[in-house]
Amino acid sequence: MSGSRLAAGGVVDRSRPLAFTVDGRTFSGFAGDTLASALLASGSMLSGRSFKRHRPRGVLSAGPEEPNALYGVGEGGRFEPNSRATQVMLYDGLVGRSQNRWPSLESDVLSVLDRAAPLLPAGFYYKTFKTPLSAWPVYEKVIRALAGLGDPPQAPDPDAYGERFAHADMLVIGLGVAGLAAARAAAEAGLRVLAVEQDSVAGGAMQGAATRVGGFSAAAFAAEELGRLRELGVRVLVRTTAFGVYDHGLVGLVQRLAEPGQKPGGAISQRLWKVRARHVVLAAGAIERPLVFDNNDRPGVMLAHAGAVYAQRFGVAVGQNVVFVANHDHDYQAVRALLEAGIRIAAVLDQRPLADIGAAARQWAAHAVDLRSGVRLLDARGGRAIESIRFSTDATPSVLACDALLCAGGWTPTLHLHAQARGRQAFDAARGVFLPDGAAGNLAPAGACNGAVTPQDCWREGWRAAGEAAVACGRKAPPDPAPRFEHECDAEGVHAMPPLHADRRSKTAFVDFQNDVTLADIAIAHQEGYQSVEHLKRYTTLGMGTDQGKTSNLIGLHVMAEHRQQSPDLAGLTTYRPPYTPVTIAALAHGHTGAHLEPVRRSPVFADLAEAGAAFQTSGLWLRPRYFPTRGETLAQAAMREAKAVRDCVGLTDASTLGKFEVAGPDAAAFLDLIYATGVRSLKVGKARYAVMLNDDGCVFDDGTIWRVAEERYFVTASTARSAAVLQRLELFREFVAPHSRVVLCDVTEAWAAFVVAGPASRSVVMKVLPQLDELGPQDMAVHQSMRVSRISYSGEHAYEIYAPPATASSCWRALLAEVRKAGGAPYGLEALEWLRIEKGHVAVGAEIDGRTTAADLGLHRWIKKGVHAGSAGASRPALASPDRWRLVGLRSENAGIPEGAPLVDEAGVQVGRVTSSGFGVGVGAHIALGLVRHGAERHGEILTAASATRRRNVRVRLTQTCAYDPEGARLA
Amino acid sequence: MPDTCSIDDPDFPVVWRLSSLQAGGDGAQRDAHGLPAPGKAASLQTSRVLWRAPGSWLLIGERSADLAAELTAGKTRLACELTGALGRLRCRGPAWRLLLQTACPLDLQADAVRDSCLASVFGPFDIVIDVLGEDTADIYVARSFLQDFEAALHRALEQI
Repeated sequence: MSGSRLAAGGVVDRSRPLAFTVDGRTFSGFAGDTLASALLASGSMLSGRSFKRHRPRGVLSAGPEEPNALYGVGEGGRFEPNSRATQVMLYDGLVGRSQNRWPSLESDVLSVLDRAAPLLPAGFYYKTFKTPLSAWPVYEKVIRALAGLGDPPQAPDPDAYGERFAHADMLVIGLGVAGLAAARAAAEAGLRVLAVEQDSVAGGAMQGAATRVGGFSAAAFAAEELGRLRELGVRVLVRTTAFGVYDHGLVGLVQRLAEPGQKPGGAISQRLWKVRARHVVLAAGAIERPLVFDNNDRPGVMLAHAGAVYAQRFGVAVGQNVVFVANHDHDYQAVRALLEAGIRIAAVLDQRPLADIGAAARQWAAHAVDLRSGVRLLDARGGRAIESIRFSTDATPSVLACDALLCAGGWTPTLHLHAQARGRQAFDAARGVFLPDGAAGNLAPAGACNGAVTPQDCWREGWRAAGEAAVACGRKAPPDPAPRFEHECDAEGVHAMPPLHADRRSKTAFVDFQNDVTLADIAIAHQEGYQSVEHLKRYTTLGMGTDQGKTSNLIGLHVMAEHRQQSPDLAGLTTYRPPYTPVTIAALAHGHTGAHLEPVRRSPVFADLAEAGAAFQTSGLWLRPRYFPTRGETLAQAAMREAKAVRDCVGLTDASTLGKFEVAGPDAAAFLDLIYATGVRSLKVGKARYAVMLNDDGCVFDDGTIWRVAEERYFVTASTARSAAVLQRLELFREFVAPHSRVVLCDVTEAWAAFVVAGPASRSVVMKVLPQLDELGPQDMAVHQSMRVSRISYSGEHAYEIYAPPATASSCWRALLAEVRKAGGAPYGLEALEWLRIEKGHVAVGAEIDGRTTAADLGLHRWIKKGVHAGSAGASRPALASPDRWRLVGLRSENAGIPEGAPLVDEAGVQVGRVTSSGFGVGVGAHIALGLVRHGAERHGEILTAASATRRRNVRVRLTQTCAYDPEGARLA
Repeated sequence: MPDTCSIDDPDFPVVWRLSSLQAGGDGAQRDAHGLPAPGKAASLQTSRVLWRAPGSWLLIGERSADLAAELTAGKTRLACELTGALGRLRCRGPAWRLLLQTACPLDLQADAVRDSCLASVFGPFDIVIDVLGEDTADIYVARSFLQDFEAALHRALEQI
């Protein structure tokens, strides 16, 4: 086969030549070419190697169904593997690289696998690599080296990607004849229309037709209609693929603003669209199937319609000596298209008897050198390109030289999106094909995807579908202008599966080109019981890969049905999953990568914390200071210094991330008393209290503090981790459990910064910054100027919690920090805070409050009131009162850090508990931890082993009471 | 200039939240006081009032404390100060809808009309949109997210 550029014709811009390279070789093409058309025009016919057998392959199609001509396109971070040459629009400087070959496309060492094909039937890898088991690592290495199609890019993608949500009265998918009609009808009816086309031009299958419309060429008609749509206000997106239909009618689109490997002209390379439309017209067209015969994969064997598209749209002759194989009259349109483009057709071979060929078809075939009917196609011969075919019309085979073989194997309606929208497909026995069984929700199929064949029928269907949608939207359906399409060939038999003449056990008659699935593979799958289409797919890989079986699935289904001696409709279809064509991960991620992966929440004093030298860690979405290193300190050194500052002098930390809620109203006390297990009614104005909230199952849900700010107003804090969940629970109770309570809830988390000043010198520090503040006793609270202050301690030291509005937070923090430093103290972070609370025996959400522990387990029973409250019923279950439950204990090691999370095992090696959190007790001068241990309260003094398999450490620990430091609370005074 | 849009520097307005003590709100009294209906915003005295939920509004503006006091006088509602809790970014220009449409799933072309108040998301951020006019909208976001939200909005500005 030797393709060439025709002297005239096509819609490429011959005034704009473009240079590009493939595998280092320079080629030229024109603006409007695809990579495939430019390569074909340059006479380059070998386009790839098959996945498993590395057989030479050429361009098969002219659209998204292309299984063979896959290239890596671009360089560096813009490199995009598996790009279909039939869809990549040519640009100057394009750099392409063929795939799946070594060292070169022409001389691929692994083509030896083709000779070993008899040893590599379907599923051989499921059976071959099982024994000896010890050899698996070797197998794996080899398999991994061979597996995969295309290489990933080796550098970060330098381009930006966009996203957009869109809404429309009507979304039209596909701008072939049916889509153009639907979009125009909808727009003329006054609907808001979004119309998308995956190609760079409109027209669909008409691009390959010699059809004339009202005296215009098909291309001119499509271009004029597209212009009209824009004038009517239709938002038209070309190079945009509708790749999936999701729940509630969400349609995913990817718009290419730059070709693979191309530096974008604008800000972004691709845009992900999420579209919701009241009505969707699916005009996705149909895809031609190849014929199955021996060596039907030779480069130069091509779909008939593709040959016509290359001639009519790109002005490319796919060969100089073309043979055309027909099975129905409609494809004589392609014969006509080639002939009108000036391409010589050596012969037309029709597999039907002469009597079945229509008059119009015969008329066009008469322009060819030779018309043969009743043909059985036997074999294609050649190496890296087809040289001849072998066929028979009787018992004697004939050989016919050719450099291109165009095969018309029937058309398959494109049902993917219809199926994804939960539409039903029904088998049309007369046509031998699956068709949409009506609309799928708001998605109405129209045109070739709905079984229409002629452009006239496609236009009519598109117009009608849009008209019906317009009426449903309360508009009037506009009159159909009914453009007149010249169409001379009969549409009968367009979808039918042609007879298979090849041996059903042929290992060279390919059904799935991309995955090297042959008739023999399907026969083996059937023989071994993999007869369901889903099993057939998994066992043989039929329909997998980048083309997802667009040209092969229906053939495979028919072959399997034949093996099973049943109708294809009983075999059914495999599941159509998105995406319809491959979508780059970058398009889906659209910039949510790296630092933009998820947002960060910052405290009102974030800048001040950074200025103070904080090393931050993420805590949920918050960025919180873990420690404040000075002079190159490690985490442990800094935490030690900071914790000592709190114990010996004074420390300051930011607690702004705590959840904060205001609960107010006449029934606020009763409401809080209902939802908290700790009594609230008795709390006096000006006092604060530690409080426990239970889940409905009786386990501890969260802990925090409740401040009575005024008679009917409470200020409630929750842990940072459970803040959102606590608010949700409060709202749930407000709405559904106590809907008549006169109470309002307000999330004020963002309205208050919070600081903790802790340590023996905390009082003097606070009094210097807030000199007018009244003396506060333990659990006292006061509203001071715009602040709220309370004497609550988590560290076990005399401490103050100070809440300030964000506007004054920075000045408050700075003033406090200055005084803390003057007093010889330091800011402290989460690590020191953790050590301090463990030493004091205070529990934390996530560590001890893990959703499975009860108040009794954690020693919080004294905070639980009697009577009914949220979780009280669950807490009364006998299982939660079992003496065998693991209870909170303190753990101490004199010489080694206690591994957090480690199982605690007794001398018999039996696990009796686990370490929940650990640190260093600066007050007691030992490694300490908290843990949950069976019968823990009765085992103080016992020695257990904290056995960490992951850290490969065993540490002997002594069980103690939970509070290791100042159990009398003398330092709180 | 259909595609232009600019984003003002953020500020932290004075905000009060007004909540009805009655479950489901207090429709009649709402009407009497001129509080906006669901999905709407209104200018009341010198404050901007945004409907947030049944029986719940945000009062925004320097004098909103006074308005809150006035509206809670009947003891059927309570107010809570949220000043500093919300960051506000004003988007100006005809393309502000297009800007938000990069990450906001609402049908802004149809629904974002003057004096509508729309609660939605912009990517991972919860936002409230107060449509001040055809070419202007205020976007409110939780203060802790403001820095990242503003950066995301500016990144979106580059792609429209």
